[in-house]
Parts: sequence; structure tokens; C-alpha cells
Amino acid sequence: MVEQDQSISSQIMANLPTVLGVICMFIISTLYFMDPGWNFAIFIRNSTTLSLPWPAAIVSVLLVRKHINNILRKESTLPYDVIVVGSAVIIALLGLVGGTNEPTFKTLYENINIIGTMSITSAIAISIFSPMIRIYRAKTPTMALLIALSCLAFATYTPLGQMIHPIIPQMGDFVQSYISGASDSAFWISTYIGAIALLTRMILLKEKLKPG
Amino acid sequence: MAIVRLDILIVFVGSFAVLLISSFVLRGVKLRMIPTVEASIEAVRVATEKGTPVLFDTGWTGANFWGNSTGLTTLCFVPATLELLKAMSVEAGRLDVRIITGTRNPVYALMSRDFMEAGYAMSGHPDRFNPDDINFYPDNTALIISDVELVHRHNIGAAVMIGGHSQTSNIVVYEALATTGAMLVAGEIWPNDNSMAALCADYLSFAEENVAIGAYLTDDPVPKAILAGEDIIKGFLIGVVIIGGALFGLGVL
Repeated sequence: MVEQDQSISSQIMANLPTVLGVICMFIISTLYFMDPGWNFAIFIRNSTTLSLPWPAAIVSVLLVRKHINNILRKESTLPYDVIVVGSAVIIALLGLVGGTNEPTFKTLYENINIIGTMSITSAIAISIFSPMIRIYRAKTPTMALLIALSCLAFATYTPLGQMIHPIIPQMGDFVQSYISGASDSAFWISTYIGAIALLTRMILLKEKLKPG
Repeated sequence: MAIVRLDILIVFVGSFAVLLISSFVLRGVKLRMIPTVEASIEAVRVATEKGTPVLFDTGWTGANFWGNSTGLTTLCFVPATLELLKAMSVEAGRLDVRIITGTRNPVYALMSRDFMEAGYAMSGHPDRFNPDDINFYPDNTALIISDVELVHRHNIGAAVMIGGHSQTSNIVVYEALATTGAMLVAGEIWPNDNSMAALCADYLSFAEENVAIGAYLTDDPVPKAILAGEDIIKGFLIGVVIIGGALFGLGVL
């Protein structure tokens, strides 16, 4: 009996992060069902979330250290490493000295954000068309259906479909609301059941949040 | 203190009870192997043949406490994807292949380091683990741009992208991988994001299977039995939908 107790206690100690996580999740999720309790649950949740900048800072420092090491070793990626370290140091210094409202920091940050967003948006547009042209071949009945539905969706959400015949956007809406909607819901329900199973395994200490 | 949404609470507790009971009753059950795990291990082997690293990108999967359904699903992918990373690391350590990760969640970045290190150690080659291969990016734009840069710099031969990306950003990485001819195993948390993965991936991984990867990677019969118990709940729900639909059609409900 004593041996069994030791085994259980050692198992709990070995999985302490998971045990604490499950207890906290239980408290917060229970509070969501209570009245009043919602606001308190949000408060606890936000308190936990506020700790996230710390690991972000630690991992950012580790990342910069990696690029500094690459510079010191004169790796082939030297220009990229110099840009990463240089921009990280300049932005961090500006932010630490003048705060996030400092005009130079703000101008640089906003411009970089705009450039990044523009480049990503352009890349997305190219990247969506590229596989469509490459892969959209009606080699199988499934692909033929997919292409037909894609054409229908295109006709539904552009004036073209309405101009051809009013039934086209109606058909597109039917597919979107019923067929796509039902399959989407079925997928979500399956995923949530999977989530409950995972939570059950975590409570049974079968899923660990540290490597075994 | 009044309890609200008793209906949801009953469904949740009922599901939990069914899964708990199934963990005892269905212990002898055997499951088919989850194809995602096989495909991911195959990706490591393909990269070995091509002599390039493997890209393992999980997007924003991680410790998000958004307090809604999407936040919960994201959180559920943490143990699953980390177990998958460990299993891939065991094979990568054996075959002397690098795994380069990408995440935009700092906590996940720190955790993935532990799991990857454990995987390489289990392969008998702990020296082949390189902590510099763990990459963290603060936002989606940085993740995508850096992933594309990594794909081209290392001429990546295989990639596993399971987790949370938006379809408007993952497509950029998929296309970069297509230019290097990489084998791609992909699957997203949210079904609407899976459309681009379905279009581009060599193997499409489904979210429902992904959250259960941890159970497939263990020899323990209990988690396997819980997974089998899921089918009982699914069967019940399908029955409720069919009977409910029929009764509604007949004007009873």
C-alpha cells in the first residue's frame, strides 16, 4: 500500500506542470459556468496571459544570440544576420529610451509593418494563383467537382454570376450555407470531441507537458 | 450562486464520463495507425535522401488563453504537436537530419526545445541536436517571411506544417516549398484554413486526428481506449441529428 502511495505521489511530482495546468483549467472553466464568475475567470485568464511577454523576451534574446554567433563565425548568412541583429538592436534601443510613442520609433515601426503587410499581401495573391494554375486539373471526379464549385463561388461573389443568371448566386449561397456550412460544423464537432478526449487524457496524466 | 448554461455543462460532464468509462471498458481495443505520424516520419526520411533539413512549423499553436473555442483548440494542439516533434526527432537523430522549427509562440518555442532534445537523446545521438534550429517569430508576417527565407536557404526537401496558420499566409510557405520540390505534410486547426493545405500538400492531416497524436505515440492502452470512446459519442451525436431531423420533418418537434 505504501509502495502504491509512493508510486502515485512520484507520478504526480513527475507531472507537476500538467497537474497544475489541469487544476487551473478546471478552476477557470468552472468559473465560466457560474454567475457571477465570468469576470473573475477573465481576470485570472488575463493575469496568466500577462506573463507571456517574459518568455517572448527570453526567446527573442536567444534568437538574437544565434544571429550574433553566426556573425562571429562569419557564416554564409552574414548579411541576413547583420540586418536581423542591427534592426533588433536599433528598435530595442529606441523603444527603451523613448518609449513606444517616440516619433522615430513609431515611424520606423509603422513603416516596417506596412512594408511587411504589403509584401505578404502580394505574396499571398501570387501564391494562391500559382498552385491553382498548377494543380487545378480535372483528373478525378473530386477535382472536377472542386473546380466546378470554385467557378460557382467565383461567379457568386462577383457581379458576373448575377449578370449571367440570378440562379447562379442563389446556387452559390446554397452551397456556402448548407453544404459547406454542414461539413464545417461536422468538422468542428469532431475536433471538439477530440479536444475533450485530450483533456481527459491530461487529467489521467497520460498527456505530459514535458518530454518523457 | 446560480449555475448558468446547465445544458453545456451536462454535455461536457457526460462526454467526460463516457470517455472515462471507455478508458476502463475498451482497454483491449486496437486502433489503426494515424497516417499523419507515418507521413511525418516519412518526411524525415525524404529529407535524408535529399540531404536537406526538415521544416517543422506549427504557426501560432501554443499557450493561448483566449477563453473561446478557437483558443481551446489551439491549446489542444500543444501536447499533440510536441509529441510528433519528439517522434520525428528520434528518426532525425538516427538518420542525422536537422529539424528546423518555426513558431510564433514563445512558450511553445521553449517547450519544443525540450521535446526535440529528448527525441535526439532517445535516438542515441544527443550531439546531433542543435538548439539554434529552434526559431521563434513575434508575428505572422515575420514567420512567413523567415520561413520562405529558410526554405530557399536550405533548399528544404520536406516539411511538416501542422498547427495554426491562416490560409492566407500558409499558402506563401507552401508555394516556397513547391519551388524546392519539397514533400509537404500539412493540416490546420481551423477547417476553413485547410482548403489551401488540401490544394498543396502531399498529405493532408485532419485536425480531429492531430489532437490525438499523443495517444497514438504511446503503448499505453488507456489513451487508446479513450480515443475509441470518442466514436461512442460521435455515434450518439449522429443518432441525435438523424432522429431529431426526422422528428422535425414529421412535425413532432
